[in-house]
Amino acid sequence: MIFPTLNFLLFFLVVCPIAWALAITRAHTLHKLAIIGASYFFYAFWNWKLAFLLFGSVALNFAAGRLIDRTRGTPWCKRVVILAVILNLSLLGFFKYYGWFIESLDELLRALGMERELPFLEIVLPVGISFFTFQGISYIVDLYRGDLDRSRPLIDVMFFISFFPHLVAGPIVRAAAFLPQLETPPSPNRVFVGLGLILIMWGVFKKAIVANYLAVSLVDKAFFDPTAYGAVDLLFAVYAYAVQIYCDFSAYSDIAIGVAALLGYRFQRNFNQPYRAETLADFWRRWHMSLSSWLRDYLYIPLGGNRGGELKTYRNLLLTMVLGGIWHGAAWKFLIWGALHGGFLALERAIGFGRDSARWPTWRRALAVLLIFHFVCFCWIFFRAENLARVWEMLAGFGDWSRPTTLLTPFLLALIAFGMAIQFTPPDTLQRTDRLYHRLPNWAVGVLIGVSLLVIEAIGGDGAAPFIYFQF
Amino acid sequence: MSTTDDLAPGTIELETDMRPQRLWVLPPIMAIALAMLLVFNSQGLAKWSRDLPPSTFNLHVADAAGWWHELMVKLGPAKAFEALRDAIGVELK
Repeated sequence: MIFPTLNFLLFFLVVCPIAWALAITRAHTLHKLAIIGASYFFYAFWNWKLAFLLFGSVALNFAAGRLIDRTRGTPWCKRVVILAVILNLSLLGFFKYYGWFIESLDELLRALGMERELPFLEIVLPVGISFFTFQGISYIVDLYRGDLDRSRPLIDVMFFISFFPHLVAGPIVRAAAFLPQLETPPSPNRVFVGLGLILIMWGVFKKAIVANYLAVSLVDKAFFDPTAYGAVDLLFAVYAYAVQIYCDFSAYSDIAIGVAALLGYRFQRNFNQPYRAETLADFWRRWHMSLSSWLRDYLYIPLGGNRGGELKTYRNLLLTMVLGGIWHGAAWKFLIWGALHGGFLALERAIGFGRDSARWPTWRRALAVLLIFHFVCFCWIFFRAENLARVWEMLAGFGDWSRPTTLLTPFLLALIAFGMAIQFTPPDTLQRTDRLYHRLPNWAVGVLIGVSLLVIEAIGGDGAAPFIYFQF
Repeated sequence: MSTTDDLAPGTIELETDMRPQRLWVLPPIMAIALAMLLVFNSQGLAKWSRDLPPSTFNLHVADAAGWWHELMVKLGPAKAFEALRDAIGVELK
């Protein structure tokens, strides 16, 4: 079940009133059970067997949480945390990397003339496994560090890990930020309806119009066979992909945050106009913020962060970003994507780039934004291309300026321009929109939403493509 | 990777300067938006119902959705939406 579909709308129209009716009548446990049941239904819609895997992950982290409470203050506590993290990562690693590992081993053995019968398995990558695994790790590590005062009952751990708005593609909600929200039922007198509706509508627009059109009409074609197109088409295909992945992924986050808000729960922001970043470090403070802060707190800092001198800081940056790259999939292209980002972050730090950016004149800031945007776009080529051969074809194609443009149309150019323009709107645009929303009577908001959905439906056409981040 | 500490968990609150409301404002908003979709985009409902897995219950759902769509075509709103879709589609593609 994906967000901007009639299936999800009907699902939400059933779940929302039931969840609120139980919250209002102070049947808190039933309220949680209703949302957990809905979340498992939502997940089982893809493949019901995988719901058991989700429950297995919950059970593992719940048990680890209880053991951490019991062993606190003893050396066993740390061992429990390490074991639980290893088990979580093993689960993720098996589903994500087993096939790649066996294939690589098979190739290696063939090359060495030592062919063997290897246990090849048809493994379906469970949707959202990276996200719920990371949340499980967040629960046990937050508990160990004392960010959470005590382990939580099974029902709360189930709710936290399985809550359907963030279940399959984030944002990665942190245990210390979310679990305290489960201590009392959400209040019907304090619901961020405006925030929820604005984010949902904005997300649906970005996904159904901007991301889908750019994907189907430009990006997919150019990346499928870069040799068929000239430099202008390929260059704009890369810009289009930068806009597409932003509009696709941030749309999912916006809708998730909006849906959670309508159910009375708060998630943290996941994107903050990333293409206006003046440094790469700034970009990572604005892009997929819940993942970058997760990697920082649970990987970069435990590796030593910037505490062991300059060289170790560069190593940690590189390692964190390479692992962040491989998190997206077992492929060289993701490893290179991560290494490029890690290397540039280390370089930025080494030369002190952007350290005094607050004092930069406007022209220098504009230049820095252009530089960072183009570096990010260059890295996106590795991220999007099917394999490294396609990457080289894309890069070679940038030299061919003789061919006419066949893919780029004024409409697609307008969508790319729009995708870039929204990076530079005032930072309080959401608050301004909320103030406008509050000036309208309820019936006018209903009509406005109805008209907007009809226009999006008319422009967007049939069907909804899956979100890019479902595959991770 | 950011090395500064301005992204501590839960500190990036989207709700800052946003105004909460009572839950009761939500049902009328959703009812109006939904009614507009049902009236103008009855074709979408009919198409969705035809794609449901085959079962006796879903057959009834598909019949009801088909009947509703025919009614909306007769009364006009479904035709108006199709005209809008065609106009925008031709303009963009």
